[in-house]
Amino acid sequence: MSLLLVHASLSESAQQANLEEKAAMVKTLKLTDLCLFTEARYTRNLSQADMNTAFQDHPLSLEHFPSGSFTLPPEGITQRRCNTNESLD
Amino acid sequence: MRAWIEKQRYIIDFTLSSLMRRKVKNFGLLTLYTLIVFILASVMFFTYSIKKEAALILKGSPEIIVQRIKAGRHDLFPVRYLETIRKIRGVAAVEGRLWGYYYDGLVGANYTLLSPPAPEEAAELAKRSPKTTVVEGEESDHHAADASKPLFEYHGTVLEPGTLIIGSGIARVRDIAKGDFMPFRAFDGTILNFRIADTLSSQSELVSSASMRSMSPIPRSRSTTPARFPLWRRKSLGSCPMRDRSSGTRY
Repeated sequence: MSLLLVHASLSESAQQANLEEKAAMVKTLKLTDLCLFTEARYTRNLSQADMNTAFQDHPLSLEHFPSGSFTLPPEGITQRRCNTNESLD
Repeated sequence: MRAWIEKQRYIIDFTLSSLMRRKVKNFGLLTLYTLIVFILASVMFFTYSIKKEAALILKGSPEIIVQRIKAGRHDLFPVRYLETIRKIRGVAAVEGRLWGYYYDGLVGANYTLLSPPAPEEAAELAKRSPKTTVVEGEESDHHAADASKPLFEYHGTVLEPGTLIIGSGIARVRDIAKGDFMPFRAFDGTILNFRIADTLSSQSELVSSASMRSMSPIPRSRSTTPARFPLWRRKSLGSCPMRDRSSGTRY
């Protein structure tokens, strides 16, 4: 455990430059998400997911991307969607 | 004091002898518990570090992304909608984004192609850069920069029409480097050769907007777009999706 702490403190400065470079790229290219999964577009960009893309192939076809079972759209998206629909109605 | 020490010694002795009586079982349990704690702690550390890193990196990402959805399917975004969005109170800036996918049959991989940022940013970069280039584009094309401006600059590399910046993964797989040419098959079957201006440290690709338009059948009045706009009065407008019933556009 103490070795972990030593390693963290030693590598902090080196990782800082790496983080800054990534943050600059995000700002320049206006990226939205970490790419944790690469297979389906709604798991590749979680914040850009729709509620219906999981059924994009057929209304009755089940989710067939494995990453879809690991992750969900951000809670904010579903909740805000519901609230907005209510206010519009 | 001595009696107390003796008492503790007997307790330790009894504990150790009890443990040693079933060596395999006790050491097995110790290993199992260690493994469980190790796995759980690793997952927790890893999750926390990813969240922390995401929070640090994504600070500069757009506050709101607007996509057009038609019948539940992603649709191209008309460029004229940007003006409508720009008029919404609280919107500081709006910008279209042109991007798409390209399947490379040679290595069996899908590339993400992303055009450079808006001409406003390119104009700012142009003031700092003496390089000039010619862009073939219509006036209505928001992505086509002025003829005297470079499209994009990344780490000192100016992205001109006919050039692209590739990710290091593609450079490794295709065995190409800065200065080489990379062929792409356009939608009409023609082969387009792009010169590699630079490579990114992570796997992203950039292709200049004019080149992107010549590769894909996207009309100039359309952008593939998530249009994005930072807000200065975020609370008043909110970052929630809104639905424009007349056009079916989802904000």
